[in-house]
Amino acid sequence: MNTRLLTFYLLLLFATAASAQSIKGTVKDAGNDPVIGATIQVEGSGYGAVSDALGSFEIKKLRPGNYKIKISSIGMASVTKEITLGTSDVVIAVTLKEDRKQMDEMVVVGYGVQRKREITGAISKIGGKELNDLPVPSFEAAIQGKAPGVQVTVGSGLAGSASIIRIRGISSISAGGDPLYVVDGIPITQDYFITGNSGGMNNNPLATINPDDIESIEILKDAAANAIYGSRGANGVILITTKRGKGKGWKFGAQVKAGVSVPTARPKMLNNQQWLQLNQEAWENDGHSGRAPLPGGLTYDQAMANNTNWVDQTIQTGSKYGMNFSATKGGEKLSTYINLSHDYNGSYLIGNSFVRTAGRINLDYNATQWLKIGINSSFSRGLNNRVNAAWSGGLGAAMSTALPIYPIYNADGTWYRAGNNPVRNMENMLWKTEELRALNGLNITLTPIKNVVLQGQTSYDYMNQTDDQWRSSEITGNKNSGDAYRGMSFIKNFNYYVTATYMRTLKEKHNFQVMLGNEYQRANTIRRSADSTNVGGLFSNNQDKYLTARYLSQPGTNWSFLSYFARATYNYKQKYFVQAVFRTDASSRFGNNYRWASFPSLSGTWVVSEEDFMKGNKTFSFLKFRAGWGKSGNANIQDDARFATYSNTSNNITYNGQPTLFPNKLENQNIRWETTQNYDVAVEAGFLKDRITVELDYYRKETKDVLMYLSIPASIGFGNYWDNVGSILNQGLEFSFKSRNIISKNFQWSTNFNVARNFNEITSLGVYTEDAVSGGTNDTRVVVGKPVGTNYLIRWSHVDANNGLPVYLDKNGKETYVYDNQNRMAVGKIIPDAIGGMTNTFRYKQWDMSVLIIFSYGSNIYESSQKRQASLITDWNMDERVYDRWRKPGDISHFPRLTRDYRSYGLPDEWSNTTLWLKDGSYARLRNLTIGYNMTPARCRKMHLTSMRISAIATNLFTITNYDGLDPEIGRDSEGSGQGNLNNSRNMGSQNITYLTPPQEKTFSLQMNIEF
Amino acid sequence: MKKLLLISVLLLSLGSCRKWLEVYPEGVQLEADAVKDLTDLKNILNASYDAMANHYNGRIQFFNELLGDNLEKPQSGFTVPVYQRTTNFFNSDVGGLYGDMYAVVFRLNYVLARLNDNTIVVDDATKIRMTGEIKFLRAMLHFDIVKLWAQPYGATSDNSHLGIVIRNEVDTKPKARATVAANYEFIIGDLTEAIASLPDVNGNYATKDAANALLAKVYFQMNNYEKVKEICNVLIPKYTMDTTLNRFENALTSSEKIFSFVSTGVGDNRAATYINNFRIVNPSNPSPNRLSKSLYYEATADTADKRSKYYAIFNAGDATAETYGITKFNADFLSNPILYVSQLKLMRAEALAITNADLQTAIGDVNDIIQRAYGSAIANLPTNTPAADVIVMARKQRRLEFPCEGVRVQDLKRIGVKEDPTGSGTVLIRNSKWNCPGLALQFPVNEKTSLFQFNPEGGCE
Repeated sequence: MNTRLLTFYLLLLFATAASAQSIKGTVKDAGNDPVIGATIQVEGSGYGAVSDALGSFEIKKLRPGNYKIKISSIGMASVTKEITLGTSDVVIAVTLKEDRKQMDEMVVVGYGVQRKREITGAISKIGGKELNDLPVPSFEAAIQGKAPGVQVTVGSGLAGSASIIRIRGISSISAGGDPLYVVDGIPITQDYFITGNSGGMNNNPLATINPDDIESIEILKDAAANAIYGSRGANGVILITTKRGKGKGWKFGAQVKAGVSVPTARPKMLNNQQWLQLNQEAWENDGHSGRAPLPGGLTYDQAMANNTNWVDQTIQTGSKYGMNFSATKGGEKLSTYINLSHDYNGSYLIGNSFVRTAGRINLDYNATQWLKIGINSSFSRGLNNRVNAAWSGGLGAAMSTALPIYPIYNADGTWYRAGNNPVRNMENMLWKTEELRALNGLNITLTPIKNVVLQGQTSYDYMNQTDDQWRSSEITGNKNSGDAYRGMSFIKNFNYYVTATYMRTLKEKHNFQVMLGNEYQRANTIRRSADSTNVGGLFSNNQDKYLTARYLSQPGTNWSFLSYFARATYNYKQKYFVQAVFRTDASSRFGNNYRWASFPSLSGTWVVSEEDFMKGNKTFSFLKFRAGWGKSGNANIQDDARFATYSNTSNNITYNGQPTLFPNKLENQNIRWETTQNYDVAVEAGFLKDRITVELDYYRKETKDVLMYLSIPASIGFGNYWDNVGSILNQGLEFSFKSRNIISKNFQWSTNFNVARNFNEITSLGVYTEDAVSGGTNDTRVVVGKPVGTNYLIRWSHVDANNGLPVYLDKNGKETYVYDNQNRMAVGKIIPDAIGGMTNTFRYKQWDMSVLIIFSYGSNIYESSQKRQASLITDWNMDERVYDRWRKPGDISHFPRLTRDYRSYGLPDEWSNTTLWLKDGSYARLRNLTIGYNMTPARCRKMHLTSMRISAIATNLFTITNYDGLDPEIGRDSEGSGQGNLNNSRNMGSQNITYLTPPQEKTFSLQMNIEF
Repeated sequence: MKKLLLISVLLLSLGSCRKWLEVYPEGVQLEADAVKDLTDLKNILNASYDAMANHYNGRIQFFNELLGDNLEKPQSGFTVPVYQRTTNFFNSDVGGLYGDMYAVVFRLNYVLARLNDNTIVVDDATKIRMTGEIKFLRAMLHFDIVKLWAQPYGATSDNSHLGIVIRNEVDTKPKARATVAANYEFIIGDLTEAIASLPDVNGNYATKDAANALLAKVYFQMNNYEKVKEICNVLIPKYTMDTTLNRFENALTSSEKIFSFVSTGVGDNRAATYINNFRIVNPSNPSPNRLSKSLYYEATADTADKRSKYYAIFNAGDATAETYGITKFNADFLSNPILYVSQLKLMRAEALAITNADLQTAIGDVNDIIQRAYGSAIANLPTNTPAADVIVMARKQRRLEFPCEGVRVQDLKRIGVKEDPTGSGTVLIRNSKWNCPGLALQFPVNEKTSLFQFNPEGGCE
């Protein structure tokens, strides 16, 4: 045997021997019962195992050496063992002690963290992973279905669109009803109307936040939880915590993904022949003979020759892709988290996409034993390639005034202009909104003496938004290259807080903690616009034209909050917890008389399972009662609400070459805080060693001094006026349930379920009537005894079978042909009775599958645009539902006889608001289906990876609903005029009122994650 | 513990500066900063002209034309019910115009109040002139609001029928509608004061002649022809007829101009609604709004009339697709004539003929218009034309001279009051009786208070 062969043989022998060892063992609990499903991990490697039904496990193919293995199981305290592996297997026996780890999870509560068992308020926590893996327009959409009582209506199919989030109902009317978003302690800029109201869904200020950075989201729902943000907590608080460096040594992660987007439903519009036939039928129904006149300046022959499918012209299969790279390192001195990502999110609307490029670095430096410094810094760019959607163009035009008889081009090759031509609009209008955002915070924690922690954080949230638009001369009609417009917003949001915390334990029983704090926030938005004629494209590509453009100063915002707060907690033997919070706030938005307001809260918890009489209880592994009361406020109104304001002298509006000055609004120096009193009682329980946990909450929110932007007689000279009027009641129940149904070595199945019931009612409107505030598409009203967002409509009875005419009901329920707005009644509501979600997660060996079903029950949808798409023939196209119409005496039909004259239906115009368009808005939908494969540790090791996962993700695969329109999940921003305040509509009709609103998107994507 | 307290107090005292809350809205001017001296008041008055120039840019005129017989039914939108005379209190186009017009009234009343509250130094001459301008503009707004939102003057014998809310001071309280008699009394009162206060020459702003010309129009609408003659006889000799057929092309420089709104460029276009509605961008496609068949054929019946060249026809001969347009507004921007001599000429002609006084002057006034249109005397009325024929021709010329200017429907209402006082149906406005309820626009829903009575709706053909 030569030397080379011998060496090879020895190497082979060694290698075989070296990889043949196993660590085997059993995991048992204190009662000597096997622990099923415990995770056994070899630290620093990809090796691991799960204990089987007998509690046994085996980790194979380990080389000799020293190992640290960690054995953990939910509800048990983790155990770490050091093992030296030689040339033979090692067998260990592990006993895990009960430790309600789940209940001791740390939860961010605002200016600090608490253990879950100590929490005296209603807080829902969502882990970052649950958010990252879902392809959504913006991170907040991924909360949907995961937190009880949190209603998330995802913005309609536009890329980057905002979701509408309402926590425990709606308690505001004209003031903002969105929760407060706080990222790493920074109340961020979250104005949905930075670039005004345009395009069907406004630019979303949250879309530039990178979901990959999010470690967890905590949703503070009741006053006990959010009183610490008292001034702005009335609609709940969403705390976002970003990832930080942890573990030892560098760890790297990378993610790539790609997918496609299609609409969940496709409008079935009529073709030219169908439209012409129905137009003719209407003409003849109206008593005419001969051919019916046509809109759009077309002859009948031309109309027959044109057959444009405008839906095809405005939608596509959208594409999505993204990549993400992260590096983290923990350390005794310095911890680092770095992330870079690029995400292209193209929607199914032609020309519409959102591109996010983001970077973040979070550092934690332990300078000394008494000084810690933390830095959070992120930079992101969101580029929103926008299109007109809904009524203003694009798909909305295809569903309305772009008739199939219209051509795209005239016979001579010029654009067809005599009717709506969305292709002409799309190709002659450019629109991009670019947002640059830097979110930076510096946090210093001092521990000067024992039991005292001082913390200070200062932050700066800067946003620079540029809205670039261009219209060619084809659109403007001017004889030049086109008009360019740029709207610029520079938003500076500065914030600091300082807290001093004192902790003390007396006689090992009495635990006190007192925190005092002070916070100041000041935000300033400067807005400018530039416009120029004779520009060949967007300003971004025509810098020379931009430099010589006309600049105008536009109203911005400027506001500040000054706050002092205190939180005291006490617990006795970790069984009885009491928390008192007091916060006092002043806002620059209110005058001196009403500037300051106080927001106290008091809450308590009893951990019953810690009592001696519960020890050894076989049913309950955990039981806790909590109750709380508190006040919170809302000041989310325009900065100038209280002032009489005038135009700027720099407005550049001249008449006859002379300057102008004019009043914009009336003053009311007496507006004050909208306040909500909040009560919450709850029980939390764990069964079977916390394999099943449940939580049940009852809440009651009484809001008074509701801020309303009221309608006043226009002859006064102004249409609206701010005032505090009336009150709103919200109450409801929330239930959540988590269960690990099957835990075996190869197969695990767990279920998370939540459901919430909300009851909402306007309890007073002072001296005002239901028409004082309107919303939706001018079809929702404020009605005492009814919820916010009540559909206030004339009741539709039926179609008269004899003559095909609509029969309405008057206020007394008597049938009438007369359409009279005095007969409007509260007939529906946009708020559902119940919302919820269920996630089932299955794991089989290396495979896993997650299925999220969401549901909404008991709301109405008002399909506002259908009034022009069915039976009344105007210059709108219709969808195929119109065929269920009356044609001859005796016909029983859904829609009345076709007519071209709305007066046939007794209407004053084309805009009848009746219950014929009011639909059942209940639905359940398969929101998400993810199937993933996790590479085996052995294979990972061969590839020098720690882990690797490949997953296929589908969203909105199918929906069960009675709604006969496009998509029952409707989220849009207010459109149209006459509603005065934009938040009115966001609170009273952005959800569940559809007006040519694009349907949600259905996406299919593939994703690969690796760690090394 | 002392250290702890000290540190806490230091930290918490960071936020003790109350000035941090003295933060005022960004980019908006508060009243106290905005209105400090006479220049500011002048600027508010100028802003009132500015706003009115935008509301009279074809917009107010368009609502009048929609109610009348010069236009085809719009394609869609809230102007359709205006055409159908079925507006209700949710019609945002109608409510928008109403609110915009009263918003100017608020500005005017505000300036008037500040001129007289002794907080701002103002010399007497300026105060008198500004007061005159305010009253002229306020009268003009009330006159146009009452014409659109109420039945015409004379619809009841004592004009006790409901008119509009009179806003003659800054007031944030709801008010009831006044009678039409009270409205016209208020308008005449304002104009009378304006005539007394305004100078003869005032740049592009209101003058004594402008107030007089408007007063003539008010009396004309009231069927008060003696007053019309009286005013026109004074005004007409001061001006000369212009030869231009399209007065929008030279509204500012015309020898006929008494009062116009001023445009200075594409971005300062005070004829924008005219242009947006009627401009024909591509000769293949009609304009967004189209003329009625009756106007087109009346205006183009005689091709020797040079005004007929301003009309266009699309899909000629196709019974279902034939539509009509006007080319007078095919421009990037135009100034906007409001009061001018051609109006006075035709008003005087009709007034003289109706009162059967000085028929030769009446015929001469009508012929001045005809001769300009034909470029010769070929179509002139003979000097022996009877009064009734002069009236017919004067009215016809009003339709041909002022298309799209909102004149026609108010002429028909005025004639209805005079010639068919009971609304028997001898005077019709596009198939409807001149006093059918829907010919008065409905007020917006925000007027709904216990004081306010809405118009009856519908009731027209």
